[in-house]
Amino acid sequence: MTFGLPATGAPGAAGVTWLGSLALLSSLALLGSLALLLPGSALAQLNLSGEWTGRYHEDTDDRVPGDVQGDFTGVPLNDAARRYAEAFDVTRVAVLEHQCQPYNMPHIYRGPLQFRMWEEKDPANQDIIAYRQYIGTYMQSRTIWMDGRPHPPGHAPHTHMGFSTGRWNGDILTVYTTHIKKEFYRRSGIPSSDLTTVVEHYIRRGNLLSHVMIITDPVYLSEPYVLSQEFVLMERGNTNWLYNCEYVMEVPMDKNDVPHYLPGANPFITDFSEKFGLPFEAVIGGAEAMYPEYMPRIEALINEQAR
Amino acid sequence: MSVRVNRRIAGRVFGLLVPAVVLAVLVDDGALAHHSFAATYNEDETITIEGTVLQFQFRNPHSFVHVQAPDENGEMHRWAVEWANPSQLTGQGVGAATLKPGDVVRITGAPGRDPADHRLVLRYLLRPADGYEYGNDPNETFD
Amino acid sequence: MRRSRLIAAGIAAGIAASIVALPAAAQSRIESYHVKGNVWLLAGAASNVAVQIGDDGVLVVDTGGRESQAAVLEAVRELSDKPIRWIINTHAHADHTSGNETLSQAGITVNGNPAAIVAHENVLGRMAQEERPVSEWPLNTFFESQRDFYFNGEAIFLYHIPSAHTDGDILVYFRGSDVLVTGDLFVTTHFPVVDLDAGGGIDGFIAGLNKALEITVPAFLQEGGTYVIPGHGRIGDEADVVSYRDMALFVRDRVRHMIEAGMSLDEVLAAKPSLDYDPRYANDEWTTEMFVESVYRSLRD
Repeated sequence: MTFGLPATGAPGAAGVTWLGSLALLSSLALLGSLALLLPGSALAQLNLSGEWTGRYHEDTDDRVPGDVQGDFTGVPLNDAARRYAEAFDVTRVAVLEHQCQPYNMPHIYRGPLQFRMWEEKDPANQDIIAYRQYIGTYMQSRTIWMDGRPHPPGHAPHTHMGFSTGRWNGDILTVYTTHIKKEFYRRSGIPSSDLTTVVEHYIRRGNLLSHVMIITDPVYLSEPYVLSQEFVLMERGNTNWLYNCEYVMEVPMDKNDVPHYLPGANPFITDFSEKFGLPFEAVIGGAEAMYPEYMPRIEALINEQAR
Repeated sequence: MSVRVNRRIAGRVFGLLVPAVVLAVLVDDGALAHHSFAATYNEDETITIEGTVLQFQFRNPHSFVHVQAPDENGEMHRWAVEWANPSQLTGQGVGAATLKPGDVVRITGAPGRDPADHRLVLRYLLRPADGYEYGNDPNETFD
Repeated sequence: MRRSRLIAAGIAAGIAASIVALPAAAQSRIESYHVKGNVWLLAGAASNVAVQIGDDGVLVVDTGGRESQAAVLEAVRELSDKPIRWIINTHAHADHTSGNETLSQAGITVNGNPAAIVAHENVLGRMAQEERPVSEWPLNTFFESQRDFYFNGEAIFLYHIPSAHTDGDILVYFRGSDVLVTGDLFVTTHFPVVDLDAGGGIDGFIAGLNKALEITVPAFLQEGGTYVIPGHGRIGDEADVVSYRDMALFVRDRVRHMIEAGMSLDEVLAAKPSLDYDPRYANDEWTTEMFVESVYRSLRD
């Protein structure tokens, strides 16, 4: 049999074919040896290790300096979340027990951050046991367990980063997180509950990392909240700072006094809608106002607004 | 010791501060992430207080200077003046010992949204005793 | 039936039903979870049970409901074979104290008596008033604002919180282990139960939560450090108590404002003062209406 090598006259077709087979087998053996030195192309996971920083686009204002007060757009919030956000007085962050509260897991990736990611491997077989992350903004650490361990029981404590397990779907790392502490989705005061669960997808293309979150919250969201943000691999080291938060009496006040607005009394609730000339109903509309089908309604509301 | 309340839009001062904000972004500023300044302070207004430093809290998430100073009506209050975090301040030559209790200072900044809080975010500080300054004097003009 | 009677019935039913989150099957299956230091949580009884173990013996905070008492005792035995020396009751409600007799009789003090049951003296008064079995009564009571003693290598503090969930609530703090047990002053499963008939009040409830916050110290960024075992639900820390305190304070302030505006109970209920927390804390045993009414009456009366 031949392997595609041209038959020549001498030394004879059969002889050439045998040599061709030998050559091919030798080549295959060589390639196979080389393959042992290389990551298996079909089975090896993408390498997500490295120092990543935010790549900002039109979402800069949202991810970095933060929301204008009264910005509730793009979040499928329900009535409970609306009431919570309406009552939110931002000066609450001066309350002693609130001062050092960082962002929780679904919030921090949406804020300004740089993070370092690395693998923890089983020394016996080099299987990846976990992915570790250090998130610099608030010096937070996170573990994504890859060894199939179960999530803790329901009565276990919650943390800001939650408990995460992951698996590879082709070249996408999919992560599931539970046991997350209560915090906010946005700095405008949209709350996230401690019943929140998050599915993440890490998608790397070259030096870009797309991070997709699908957030489910039975308390404050009417449907899953889908967010994506981009990160880029840094060639030079992380510029993380050290965040040694200290509790002090920032603004003289009763220690147990927690600022909040009574229903209907928040004077800043329409700041965003007034600033951008948007109908408040649309700004606080939640899921209904998030999709293209809502555009005729916005047009109608704008036409009704006093010029 | 006095207070001047300036309700003008502090446009030029804000313009000069933009590079500082950008720098804060580049150094991954947790203080900016912590809460929105625009939601806490009336950034379109300025207020000036002059009084005695009671305490300088040089810490994360943000530093504070407490100043005993009168309000518009001459009533004394303990004002809370919000400043930047230690990482930013250190880079600008400010340390934990820069201000001491007893220092007489004049501070200009954006007032808090609730006047009852007697708080402001620092834009400019002057210590007349030795001329130490921080920030940009809103009364200073440039040709 | 008058609404207040409904409330009282609801309170008793809700509390005895082990509150909400636990399915019926879990009531007979007790899971132990190491909290910190010497202290363990036993979850799955009608209420949370805290157990401190060490060379001196076993100390139990609350003993669960009647149906789970045997399982609770078995779970304690799995943690330690040392004698049960002390039982502490955070308050008088049956879902926290119905296992008193079983655990006390299974224990022994150094002078040969059943394990001592400690509580605020108002708890004893309540149990006597309710004609509970004498064998369940805490006979080692105190009336002052706090008590402390030493066991298993650490100081243990008992702080009385007046007029909160009831008039006999205490916080139990294990100083060495850095664990706070709150009874029903803090739960993760339902709205604050202000048992007006048992001397409870919303202002006292919030004061109790503030007292808890004076005790708790987080390790880093409002997380960890002092762990808190609630009366029902998952283990928490200071941040969780803060969230619960904030909720109680906001609802109290809103209802108070409405009362000052002359609104009737029905008008207050219609205004939904707890709307932002209803999906998280309301349940069939302790509904929004029951909670809001208890706050209303606590402020009005």
